[in-house]
Amino acid sequence: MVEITHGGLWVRWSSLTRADKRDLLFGLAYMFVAGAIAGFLAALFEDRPALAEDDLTRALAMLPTLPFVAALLHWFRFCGRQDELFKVMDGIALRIAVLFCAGAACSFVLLQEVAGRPPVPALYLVLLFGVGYTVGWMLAYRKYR
Amino acid sequence: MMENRLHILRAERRWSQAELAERLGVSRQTVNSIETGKYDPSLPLALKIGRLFGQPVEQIFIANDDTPCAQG
Repeated sequence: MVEITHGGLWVRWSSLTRADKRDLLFGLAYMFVAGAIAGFLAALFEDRPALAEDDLTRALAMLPTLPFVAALLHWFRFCGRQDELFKVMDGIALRIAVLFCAGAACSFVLLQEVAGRPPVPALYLVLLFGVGYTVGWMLAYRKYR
Repeated sequence: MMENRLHILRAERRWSQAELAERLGVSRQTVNSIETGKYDPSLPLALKIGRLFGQPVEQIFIANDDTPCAQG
């Protein structure tokens, strides 16, 4: 069973089974690929806004979802094999991530409706979810370590 | 949170936390969190601990509130 280390930011590699290592490595690799593609496309559309109007490139914008979903599947499989304390900690992290996202989404909508700011890309919410999830793991680690 | 006698029972058997964790099918951190009173195990895990040490759950885990027990 996995042991959490580095303040909730990493795991003790020797505590992982072969299947755990495989799922964690593939999950991280897919997440890296998804992030790289999303970052590249975001930069491309920022640089050439005309491309964002094109149907083909708009379809290409969905490309990062494939490795992202693959990463999530590996992470779910990894979590499914862990013990109850891990799942409790993961639940805390998820709740904090959702709280981050909900707060940010409300702020973005308010800024858009009241202050007339331009809409915020959905990618920001995904990033905030990641930040909230990481903060949640750090807090859960402090609570239970 | 409850108090428990897990570390005493484990010490009596000269088991390490890792050894107990392996017998229970949980991580060493989970055993450590239970022993230090930071985490109360689920009922299935508490029953598993009770079975492993051959003792009723209520003799291992002691609720430290003043809730009266139901009288039969």
